[in-house]
Amino acid sequence: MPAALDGTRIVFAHEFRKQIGGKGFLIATLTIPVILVVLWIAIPLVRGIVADDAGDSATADSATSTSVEDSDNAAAAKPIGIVIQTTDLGVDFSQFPKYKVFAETAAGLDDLRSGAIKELFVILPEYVATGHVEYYYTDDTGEGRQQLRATLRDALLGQTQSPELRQRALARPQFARFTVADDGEVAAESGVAVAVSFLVGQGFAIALIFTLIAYGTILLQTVSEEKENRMVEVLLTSASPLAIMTGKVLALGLAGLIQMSVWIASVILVVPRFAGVIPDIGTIPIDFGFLFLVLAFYLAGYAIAAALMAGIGAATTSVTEAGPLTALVIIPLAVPFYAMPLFLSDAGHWLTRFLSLLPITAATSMMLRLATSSVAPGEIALSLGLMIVTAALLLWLASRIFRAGLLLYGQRMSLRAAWTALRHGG
Amino acid sequence: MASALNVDGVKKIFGHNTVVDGVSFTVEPQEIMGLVGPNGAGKTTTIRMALDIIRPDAGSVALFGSAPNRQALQRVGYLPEERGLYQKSALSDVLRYLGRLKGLSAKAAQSRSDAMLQRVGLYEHRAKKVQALSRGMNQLAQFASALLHQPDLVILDEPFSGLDPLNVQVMKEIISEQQQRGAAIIFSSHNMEDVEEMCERVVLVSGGNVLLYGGLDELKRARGIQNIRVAAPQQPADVPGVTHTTVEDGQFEYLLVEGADPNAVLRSFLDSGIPVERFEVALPSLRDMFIEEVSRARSA
Repeated sequence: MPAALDGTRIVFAHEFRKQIGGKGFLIATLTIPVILVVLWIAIPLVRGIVADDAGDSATADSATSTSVEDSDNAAAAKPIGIVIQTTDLGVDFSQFPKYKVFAETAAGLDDLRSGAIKELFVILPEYVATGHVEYYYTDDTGEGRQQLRATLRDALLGQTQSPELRQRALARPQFARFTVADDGEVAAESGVAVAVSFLVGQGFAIALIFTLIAYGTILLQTVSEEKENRMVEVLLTSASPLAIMTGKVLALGLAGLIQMSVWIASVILVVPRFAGVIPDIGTIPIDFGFLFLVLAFYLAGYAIAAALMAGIGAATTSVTEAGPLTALVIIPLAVPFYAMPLFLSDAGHWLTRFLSLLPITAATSMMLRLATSSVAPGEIALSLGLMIVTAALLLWLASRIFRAGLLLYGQRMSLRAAWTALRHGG
Repeated sequence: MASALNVDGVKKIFGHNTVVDGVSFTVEPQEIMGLVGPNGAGKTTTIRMALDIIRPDAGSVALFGSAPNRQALQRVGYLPEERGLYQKSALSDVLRYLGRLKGLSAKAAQSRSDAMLQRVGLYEHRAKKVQALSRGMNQLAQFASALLHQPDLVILDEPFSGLDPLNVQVMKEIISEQQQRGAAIIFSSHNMEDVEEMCERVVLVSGGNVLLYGGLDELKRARGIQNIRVAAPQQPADVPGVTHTTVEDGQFEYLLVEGADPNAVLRSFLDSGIPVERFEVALPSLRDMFIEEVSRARSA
């Protein structure tokens, strides 16, 4: 194995062991699974007490359960209503037996109210540009949306060569949700449901950003401590600075990934168990495509933040001195959150697009955009590509600073001193 | 066999300050070379250039016959002046890690680390965190870490600073063992007595320039008889031909001007009625040469 790779491997193994061997890692990793399990156990208990208080009414309800199941089976066999308001689509839904096509939304809503269809989708005139679809339902099982998504994808990919339509076919439709109550009243989706969607989407992205900042900060500390402990000179005669930096970034990245995986796995495994406890939670679809993209942006975002943090750690003389400078990394990561209203109202705005292409803000911006709207695959690829190139350059620069930092022992960092050290650092 | 280290006319300028100005020397296998000089002489910068930590602006460095590369650097053990260990890690973990970075297998790093800790008397402390060790223990551990991989070139920058005499003795024995094993050793220190005791050759650097370079005995003999040691209760008011006087342990040490007569010194004591317990004509010590050369260079 080449010496550089060997050095990276050894630094990686050392840093990884050090990181996951600590009590802090274990506690932080197990916190979310433990909270979820506690909720899983506690909520039914609390609800059981409430149910006992409710008394005999439950007995009467159970007598009707069989007829409810029968009604559910009947609903599954009902067609899905669809209204096509765009002329750009070129898909004839009447050829699919599971869909019933309406010319007007009102006619579809009448059928939904009467129970002739189980849900109604209105594909809006601007669909090809925005992916906007109205979704009317009495009981959202998630199946109808999945079926529509699959139908649109297969039909569009199979029938068109138009790049715009193909791009739309690959992206997810954006559903504006409306409930149809028993009395026929149509209402926009409730605040609770929106909040749940937010938790699953943006909330998840926010949690990722926090871990990204946390592991970036740990990396800064390990680099800074090496300087404080006067280890740098010995390390530099044992491995190249790039191997040292790469080993550290990968080790902490993997530790963060393991932590995130445990959290995600616990959410996937435990949250569906709440289905009988929290109304509708089981119907929230887990979009693995979205999770994959979030993960990709998480890793690329981590690489950039980690390289920047490592550079700061290498350029400063102590953890205390480095601390305030972390704001230079954290603030850009947080900028998209300040623009949250824009992301929610107009995710395709030039500013949100710019933020999602700017490498330092791209991770957060893209996670928010992906959670709130559809993003063109080309834009996703460009953003990821720019982030990867930037991360590689920053890592190289951080390793140069790490070597040059040796010449800054005992000096306060200034741009001039850092530049002089960089020039003489070989 | 190629020299362990060949430094040829290296020069380093930081801003407008020439820190190293054409320094040249060679270190051969199985020799201990003393690298001495006053503070700020350019010793550490020269070592860093030899180890490719910083690049020279002019001149060249050859490690084991070729330009410093990762493979050659794996054969070097380095104890820098600015040193330390991971404070929050267990001692044996740190040593094992440093051994692995120097190319040892996990098993070899473990066994060498145990053996070196035993050799320096720290084996019982191997599970302790480094921050729990005394300063002297820390230093011994760092010394051990520099030798774990049995390097062919050992560079020790002020290895004895802050150590008690017993630990200094342990270190000297180990350095001697390394030499017998075949390693070339660069020993940098401000303590001239230690350098004189341990080194066959020295290079004296001041202001970035080499002032003296060669075998210690040769250098001394080349300067002729210039040192007189007199054991007496006091010294006369005027001692002829003396350029520098040192008083230590009731003994007067005189550095004579070139061509001065040592017997005139003895006569000055006897003529003053001061009883002389011992009179010794000696070759100049390294300290004398250091003071004389550095003073001359600074005044030039």
